[in-house]
Amino acid sequence: MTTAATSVTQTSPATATPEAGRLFRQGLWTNNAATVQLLGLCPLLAVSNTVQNALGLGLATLFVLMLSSTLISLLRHSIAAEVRLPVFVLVIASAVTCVELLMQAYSISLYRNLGIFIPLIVTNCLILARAEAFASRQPVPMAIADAAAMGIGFLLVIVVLGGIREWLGISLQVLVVTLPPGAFIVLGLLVACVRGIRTS
Amino acid sequence: MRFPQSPAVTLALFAAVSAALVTAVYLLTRAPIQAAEARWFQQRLSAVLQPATGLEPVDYEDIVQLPDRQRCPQCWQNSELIDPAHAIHLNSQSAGAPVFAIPTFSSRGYNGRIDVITGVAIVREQQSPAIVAVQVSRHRETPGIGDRIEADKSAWLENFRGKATVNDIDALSGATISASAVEDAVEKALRFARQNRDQLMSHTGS
Repeated sequence: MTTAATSVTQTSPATATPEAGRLFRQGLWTNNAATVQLLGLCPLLAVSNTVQNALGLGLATLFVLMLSSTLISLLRHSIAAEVRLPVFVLVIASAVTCVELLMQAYSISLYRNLGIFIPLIVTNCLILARAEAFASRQPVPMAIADAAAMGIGFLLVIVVLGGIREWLGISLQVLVVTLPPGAFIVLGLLVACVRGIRTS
Repeated sequence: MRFPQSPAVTLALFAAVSAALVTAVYLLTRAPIQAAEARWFQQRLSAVLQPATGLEPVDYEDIVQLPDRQRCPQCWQNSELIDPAHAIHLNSQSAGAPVFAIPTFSSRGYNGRIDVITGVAIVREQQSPAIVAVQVSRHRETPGIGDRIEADKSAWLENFRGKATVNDIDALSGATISASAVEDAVEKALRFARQNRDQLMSHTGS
């Protein structure tokens, strides 16, 4: 995580495209938030019981991550190092509150389905980790690319997990898969598969 | 830009700007949220008053809103049983007997209050009112466990159909507290219907 952040320093427009490609490769595969860094597992495990819920929370997380990374990168020179963490938390919490209000206003059934997990996006360590390790040290375009890559990586894993759990648990009636222990087991198998493919 | 101030001032500035942003979004979304919540409640109400057509909007030609607790405190006996935030609705055109949608709530949920709308049919010849349909309009129960009290999540609410009492409703395994809170709210609606039977029937116009 830290190596990824420090290795990308001054980026000229000419190298921006390959850099963005590298960020996306990291976010989606080599440094994926869920399967490699194992960040944000609380919502990942709790809301991945159906594809619809997983997609809703994944999109909300992606949106909050992009918003907070953009704002933090934009304001990175104004934030004194001593208070950077409280400021990050403030920015993230405000973004989440706005998303929650907007979702209640314009997509009330999704809001009802996700319930407590929308406010809990604040505590998703993925978002704070990207703010601290990347967005606060990088120019805005790179921060947006990184947030998009990490957020989409998280979204893909949560949707795949939701798909597997919905198929096994609801279609095939393997009840344990719909319950929290089943979420751990399926995620463990998924991480093992990803590791196996990466190391082979 | 770089602020020359101390970190404390920077933090205070960020707090003020964040508060302003959240306030702005709150004010902008207040009316849409109220509208969305009202639509959500209307859909549950439709499902109660017209169980056959489900969540289709109610034809308001047939729906009567009965006097509520604010407008007429002495209209109903034991009016503390009903939820003061919503009115009682009546569909006198429904097949069979008139159906009253009675809003109640229970504070015995696993995570606070559960709002329930109970559709109660009062048949003239029968002594006790019967449940036609039950909908949970608002709750904060545990996702994946307690939220099976919702009609969208499981068929458990179907168990109430046709019953005149909640005594023989099976609990939801794993969500006993959520289920018994819903039963508590439904029981309030039934008690209210029994005690105000004549007053309710005087609105049916028959």
